[in-house]
Amino acid sequence: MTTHAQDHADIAFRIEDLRWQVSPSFALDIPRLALPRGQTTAILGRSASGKSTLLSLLGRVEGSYFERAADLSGKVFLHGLRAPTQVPSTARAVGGEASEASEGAPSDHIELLGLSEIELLKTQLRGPGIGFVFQREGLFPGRSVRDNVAWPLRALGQKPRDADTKAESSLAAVALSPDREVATLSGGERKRLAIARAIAMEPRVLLLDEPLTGLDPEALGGLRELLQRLSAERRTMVMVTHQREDVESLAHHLVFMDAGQVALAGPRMSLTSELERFFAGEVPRAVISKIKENAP
Amino acid sequence: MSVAARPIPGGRVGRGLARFGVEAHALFAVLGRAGRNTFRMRGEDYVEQLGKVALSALPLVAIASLFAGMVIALNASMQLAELGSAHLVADIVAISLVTELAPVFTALLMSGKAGAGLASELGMVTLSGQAQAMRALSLDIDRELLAPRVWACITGTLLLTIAAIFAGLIGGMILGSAKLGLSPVHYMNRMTSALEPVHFALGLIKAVGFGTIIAAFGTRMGLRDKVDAGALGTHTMTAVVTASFTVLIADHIMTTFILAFFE
Repeated sequence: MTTHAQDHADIAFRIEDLRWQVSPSFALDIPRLALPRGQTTAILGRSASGKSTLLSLLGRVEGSYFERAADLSGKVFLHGLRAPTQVPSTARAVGGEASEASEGAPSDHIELLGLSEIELLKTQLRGPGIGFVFQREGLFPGRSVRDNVAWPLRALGQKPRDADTKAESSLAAVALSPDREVATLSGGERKRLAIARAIAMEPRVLLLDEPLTGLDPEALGGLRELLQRLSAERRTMVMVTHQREDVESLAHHLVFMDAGQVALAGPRMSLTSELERFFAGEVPRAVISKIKENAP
Repeated sequence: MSVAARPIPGGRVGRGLARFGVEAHALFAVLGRAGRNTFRMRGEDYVEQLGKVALSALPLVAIASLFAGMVIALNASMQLAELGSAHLVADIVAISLVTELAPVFTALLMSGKAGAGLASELGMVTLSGQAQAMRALSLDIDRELLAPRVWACITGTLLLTIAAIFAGLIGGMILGSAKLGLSPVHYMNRMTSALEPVHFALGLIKAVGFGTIIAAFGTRMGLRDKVDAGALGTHTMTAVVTASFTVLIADHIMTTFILAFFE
């Protein structure tokens, strides 16, 4: 029998008995799933199959400002990442693995769903810990391009000069001028700004919801190269995508979603034929699902 | 589990009461969140919001109150003239403005301006995904958005009420001297002798209460989940209508309690 540390040394996210009744007609239902650490996972599937919903849970941005998501149960463990500030013991001591944390032993995992919105803010787990690039970017329109990146850094306690320097370097990485106004940006430029904002915080985990959709070929090449560089730094990335090139150039691991369930998951190299069939229009069905070597 | 998903006993009445409970809780929640962040919010954010809420509404409130003061003076003088007591017009204008008209008038204007502004501005933050992006960046919505707006709305309503009182009193004085032949000095003397601390307490405490009501409805409706621009419009309208309605009910309740306290 292996120890806990050996079990999860290569895992970034581990999901157990996750169920979320998102609406009367749609539920996310994932009994078990593990996503590899230091690698890029691509989540694939039809529209409305639960890809972005799953990603929102991994980044703990589900629900709303006022209310936690209703009818949500299960556990989502994040391994190998320490929150920038201390996670309260009450939050870590969730479920059966409470004793490990509460005894003061260094824990390499956090149960994400056990954290309240206030605890998530206090620990600064989101942003500096888990970066998120949204499909609709959520930019701050009243601020300049530079400020869109620098303001969150300043708000988290960085000195204005350091924040500006970091913002400019992130914007240079996505080839965007810091002095422009958000209102003047094209769709592709907005995506680039959203990526710059996320990577400026240097998160160890990066969640990307269709990050390269709607970009012109030149920007696409540059950003794919940037994501490859981030991936090469052994950063954990989870990406929702519909594009074959993204999968082939970035993904090490694949998760196929269907009707809120994981239809198929495993290393990309072992799913080449399924991937071929997927891009030919044959989406794996959850009812005949088989998880291939799910644990990386 | 959400209220909608849980079976609620009592049919429509039960559901209505449950929804009322949820909304009331949410209104107090936004005020509580703003209160907890009073000393965490940045001064410049508060000043910026105060400028948006109070300074921009000052001409509107001042002009409206000036004319309101003149109209009260005109109406009161006609009634008082029949009784041979036209000289009391300053007393009536002063007391009615300070205790009732200026706070209510200002609050109703603020419900339309600041309430709608808060609901639509924060509504766009929610609708455009900025609120979700802020959560993802560990930006505290309570500190960054909520607290400066709530406190600016409360203090802005108070400051505008004071401005409305002054403008209304000047309006009454203008009419008193122009139409009734009362000298400004006589008018001022009558006003100062008529007004007592209880009148100012009544007016200013109400202004703070009304500002709180407008801020609570505006921010609550603004930060509610929205699926489309239609919901944004509906929430904004709801913020204005419910805040105005609640201000009028609260006016009666607060007047009763404050007068009972001072008696």
